[in-house]
Amino acid sequence: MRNHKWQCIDAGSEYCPCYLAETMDCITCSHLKGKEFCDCDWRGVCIYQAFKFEGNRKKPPRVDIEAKILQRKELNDHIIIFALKIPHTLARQINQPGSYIFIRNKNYNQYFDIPISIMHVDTKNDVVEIAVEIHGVKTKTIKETSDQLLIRGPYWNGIFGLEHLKTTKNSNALAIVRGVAQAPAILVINHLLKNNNTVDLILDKSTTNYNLIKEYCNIHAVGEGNLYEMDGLDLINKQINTKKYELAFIGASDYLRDKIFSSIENLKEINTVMTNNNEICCGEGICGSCTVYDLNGIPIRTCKTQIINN
Amino acid sequence: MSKPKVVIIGGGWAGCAAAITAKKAGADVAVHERTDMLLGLGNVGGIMRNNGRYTAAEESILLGSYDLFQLCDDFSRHKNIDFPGHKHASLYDVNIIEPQVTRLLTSQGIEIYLKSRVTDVIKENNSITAVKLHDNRVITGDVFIETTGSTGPMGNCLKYGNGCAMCILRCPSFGPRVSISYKAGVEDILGRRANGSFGAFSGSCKLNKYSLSEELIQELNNKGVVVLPLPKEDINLDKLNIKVCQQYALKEYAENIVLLDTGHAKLMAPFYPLEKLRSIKGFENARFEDPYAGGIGNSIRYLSIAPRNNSMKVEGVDNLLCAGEKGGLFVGHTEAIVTGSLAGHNSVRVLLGMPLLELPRNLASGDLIAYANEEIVKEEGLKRRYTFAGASFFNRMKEKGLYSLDTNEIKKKIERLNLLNIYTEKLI
Repeated sequence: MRNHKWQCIDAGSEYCPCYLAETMDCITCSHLKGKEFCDCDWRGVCIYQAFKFEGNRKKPPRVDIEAKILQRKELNDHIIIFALKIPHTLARQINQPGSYIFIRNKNYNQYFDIPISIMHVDTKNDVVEIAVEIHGVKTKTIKETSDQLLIRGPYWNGIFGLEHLKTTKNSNALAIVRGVAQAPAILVINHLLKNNNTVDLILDKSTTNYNLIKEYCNIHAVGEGNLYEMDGLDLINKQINTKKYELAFIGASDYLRDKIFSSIENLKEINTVMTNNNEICCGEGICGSCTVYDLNGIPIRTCKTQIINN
Repeated sequence: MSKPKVVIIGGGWAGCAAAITAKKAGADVAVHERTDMLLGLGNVGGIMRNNGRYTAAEESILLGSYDLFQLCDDFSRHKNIDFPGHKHASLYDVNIIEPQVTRLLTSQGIEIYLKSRVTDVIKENNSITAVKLHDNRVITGDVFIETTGSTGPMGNCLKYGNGCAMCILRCPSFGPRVSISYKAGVEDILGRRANGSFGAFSGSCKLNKYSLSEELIQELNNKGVVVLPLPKEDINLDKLNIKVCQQYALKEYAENIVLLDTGHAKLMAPFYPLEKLRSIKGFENARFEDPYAGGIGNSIRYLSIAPRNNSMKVEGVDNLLCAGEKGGLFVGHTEAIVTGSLAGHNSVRVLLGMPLLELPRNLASGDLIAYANEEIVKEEGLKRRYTFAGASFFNRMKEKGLYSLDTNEIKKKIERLNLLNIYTEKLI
């Protein structure tokens, strides 16, 4: 019996097979994990066949490219919105919920790569907008950039529960979002709206003090408050009892998410989509910094592995 | 109280046969099939009643599992034909049989779920309580019969063959076969080739009949069989070692092209390079019908056999039975129907806690099931295939007096054994 439920987000993409196939650590294929026979989490393609056809080599991996900064807007002293000119193909590839890219100041080496969620993509003009919160060693190096950034992408696993997100249509969805998690929420909410869903937003602006979702999704919050306080949690509780929700999106820290889950019983009945808050460093399933362990103690590289919870 | 439910995983000949006998014994029956058609490799097979299969078909009919054999007889393009090493064969029309089988099963009240790929099991102690589908749906049942076969999927066909040749099983479109017994914690048994490597190539490929010359088409339509001597430089006896169908691994099949009319032109070789084929008179425009890339390879089989007893119950799981290739190194539809019928009947006996039926060894069917089980534990036995139609077992049938074309004689034997129409008895 199989207990695990995870899927490689890159399986079957133009970046598959990857380094993990070469080292026999493929997330999907049993042959490429060193087993003798087929026993895969079928993702629509045979990765083993693709690997053999590539001459037992990975496909060319993602590389750093220079992206011109078209606009740089400081929302306050710790949040900067960048508009970057990017190649057309990349614009197309990252225009979907859960997408992220790595950015870094070109004067620093790759230890300073920062995974940043895609907030908005203009695929006509090939411009991507991202919101960077300056708060640690890596992000501080971004503060001084003004002409260009090194970027690497596309990556897609910034959100867990994509399967739920992509199959929800003509339903009601509740988005609970705090702070800079508004950025990844925008592609999520727009995707839900596009599929004829109603999206009710409960927003905690936190220190951003800014409603990005209103600007990019054209929806108003049904409630605003501090989600760390009882009043904020009450907002969710009240809202969830007003109608039947098929899907909930939670854009918040793991700590707050757990707090919301433990306080609001009804939420457990709803398909949940949430931000991937793990420490992503390489995006390729190699460095291990994003690893979590499932119930059986099996490590899951969350930078590219969807955790399916239902 | 609702009726106990038998869940069959895999809708090939074995699964269909199991569904019919389980239904006849009184259970509610659901068949879950991965693709959009029943019959699996039966959609490209067609050969019935050759050599000892005649006896086995008659035995099954007399035991009460007559439906599918009658259907094959009704839809045969040719009856009572001979081809090298084989006598009195019938060839059913592979292009029209499948919808007939679907109608037959539906008319008997059997539920059929297509595009329904079983990927996992849920177990409690030593029993399966439910199976999981590819889309995470959970299907509960009381007894389960695995007839998923042992062929493919793509990674296996690549590692042990020449890659996916795009056969009728269509793994890329419908997703791969999953070994249910393995998911239930039972290790698979693997067949081997003469050189010891795992698996074996499917033994025939199918040409589009209308891509052949007018003369060949006519001969096929009239006689059902064409035998053409091969150019000397094309004779490759080694090819015989790689195929599953040892009953066709005869010198005649290396020295000649043997075609059978099953609706397609069945070419009795695992694969055949297209340029070489097209250099032969009458084959100038030839193209493959199954596998589509029959010029490079064919599917790989026998990579997933469950250990079982002679009543077709899987060892180590209380309520799982198996049949067809999943139940042994069997070749052919007749073998699938014979083992499937027994598994379906016994599934209801498992439900009721009754002693399970074993077919006696003085029937060809009983001897095949028991003999294959004796041989599979031997290293050399893993390299052999078991079929009423040839290889070592047909000789054994003749030696033991199990081969008969006399239906009355077979009937008398089955009456003597008190097994006449046993599969039609309602147990629930």
